[in-house]
Amino acid sequence: MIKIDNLSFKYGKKEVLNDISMKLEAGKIYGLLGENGVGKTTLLKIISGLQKPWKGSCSVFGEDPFKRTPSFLSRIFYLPEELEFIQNDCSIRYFAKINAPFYPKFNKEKFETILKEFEVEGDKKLNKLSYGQVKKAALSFAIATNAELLLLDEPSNGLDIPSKTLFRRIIVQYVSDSTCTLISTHQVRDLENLIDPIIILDNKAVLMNASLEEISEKLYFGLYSSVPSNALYWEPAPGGYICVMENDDLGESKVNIEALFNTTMHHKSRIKELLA
Amino acid sequence: MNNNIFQFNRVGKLFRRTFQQNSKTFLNNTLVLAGLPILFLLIARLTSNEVPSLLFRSNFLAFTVGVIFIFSPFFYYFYNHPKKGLSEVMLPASVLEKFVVMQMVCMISAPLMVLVFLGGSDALITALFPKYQDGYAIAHFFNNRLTTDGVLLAFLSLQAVFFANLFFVRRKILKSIASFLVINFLISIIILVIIKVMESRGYFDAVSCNMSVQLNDRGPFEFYAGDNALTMFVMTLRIFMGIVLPILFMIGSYRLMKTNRY
Repeated sequence: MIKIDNLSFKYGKKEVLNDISMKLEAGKIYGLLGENGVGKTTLLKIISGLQKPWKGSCSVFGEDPFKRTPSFLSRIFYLPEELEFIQNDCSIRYFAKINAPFYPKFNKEKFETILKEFEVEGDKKLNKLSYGQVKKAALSFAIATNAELLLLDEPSNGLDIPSKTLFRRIIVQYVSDSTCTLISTHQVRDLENLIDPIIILDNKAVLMNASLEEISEKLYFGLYSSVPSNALYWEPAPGGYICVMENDDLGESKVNIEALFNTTMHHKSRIKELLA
Repeated sequence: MNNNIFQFNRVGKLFRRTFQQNSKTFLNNTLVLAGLPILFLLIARLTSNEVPSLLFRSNFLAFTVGVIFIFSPFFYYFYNHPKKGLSEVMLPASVLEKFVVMQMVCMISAPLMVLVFLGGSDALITALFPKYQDGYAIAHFFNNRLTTDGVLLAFLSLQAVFFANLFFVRRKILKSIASFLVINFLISIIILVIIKVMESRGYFDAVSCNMSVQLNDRGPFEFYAGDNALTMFVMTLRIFMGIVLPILFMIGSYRLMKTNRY
């Protein structure tokens, strides 16, 4: 569905992405992780056609996204982190009424159901709602478009704890099985039990693009009372230390995304060798 | 035609969306426009027992049509805003369709709104209260104010503002005005230099220099064999400023819409 080959991108002279390659498939919820400023948003903008690569190529549904053809735009939905584009003097229901005709697969019933589950006041003006409410309203519309590619930039920002739980459930329940969802975040805990595969981005490379199964084959996550000598990364936790080690016949373990991210940041080249 | 380039169905949807999205603004504007002739009549009656003259009303109508026509592209003020513009750029329609709808809103809907509501209200007052108000401003406007050069100048201004609105991202109005002043100054200098060069080479003989150039009754492409050099020059300049330059601005605006990054 998405094919990125040797893609580089610059803002002026500042290189943001350098020689990035990856493939993304339909029917998966990808987590795009990375520190602030590594180019997660830029990558989403390139995929959605808002930016053009400096070098290399990005192809979505076999098309160049930057051409922004109607058929391409009707198959994707990009929800940016900042929602100024939607904060108008109208309600989310009115917004949906005037914009839905452009999305052939828009499902009004689904939209109303998600709005209800998120407890969003559908008739209240968007510029009168709190940031979290606007985010939930925008998410409801985005999911209801039934787009084949859903690009969500920091979707859990501004959501309270119950809403974050609800957000994960709604994504799992209402996003179509054939949709490719790409969620960018630096708040990795918010997406625990939701994202699979995981992409970890660094300024200069894709450090990881692997499924949870592949990660647990290569890395072992365990709670130890003392830090083993072969641990790549450890951090104190109630009851001992969460340790991450290369998986040399240690068996399967549940991937701790935060520990995985920190391990990757500390051992970039080794993790890249194992999982890129 | 290719489905991804132009479809009347999508153009219709874009039009509907534009009016639905801005229904309050349109309603407010129409109410203000329709109310202005009544206000003028009331002020005139209360202050001086006189009625607003046909010339004044016609001039005011021409001024309002001109201002709304020229500045209507700022209606799409946020089109290229890095955040607010996403609702437009990511809308599933082609750039050509969006461009056509924007041009039609600016060139047709905006001036039509003024003519219908301001001109219509004025005409209604004249029809209903002939003893208070004489003549129709809209008829006077079409008969006396709508000249070829006026239309060409308005078209050039509209396309220049349209382009500037897409070219500048922030402080658009200020930057547009400043750049127009600079460009106007430069064009004047260039024209002056050309005239001086032509004069030094003897293109304008004593007779033609004393002739006045009357073009208002001519169409933009009406050249005659007996035209003197000055007339030819002014006619050429007129085509460049009234037709070539606006078309270049239109092409530029379309390119900006197509290649703008967010």
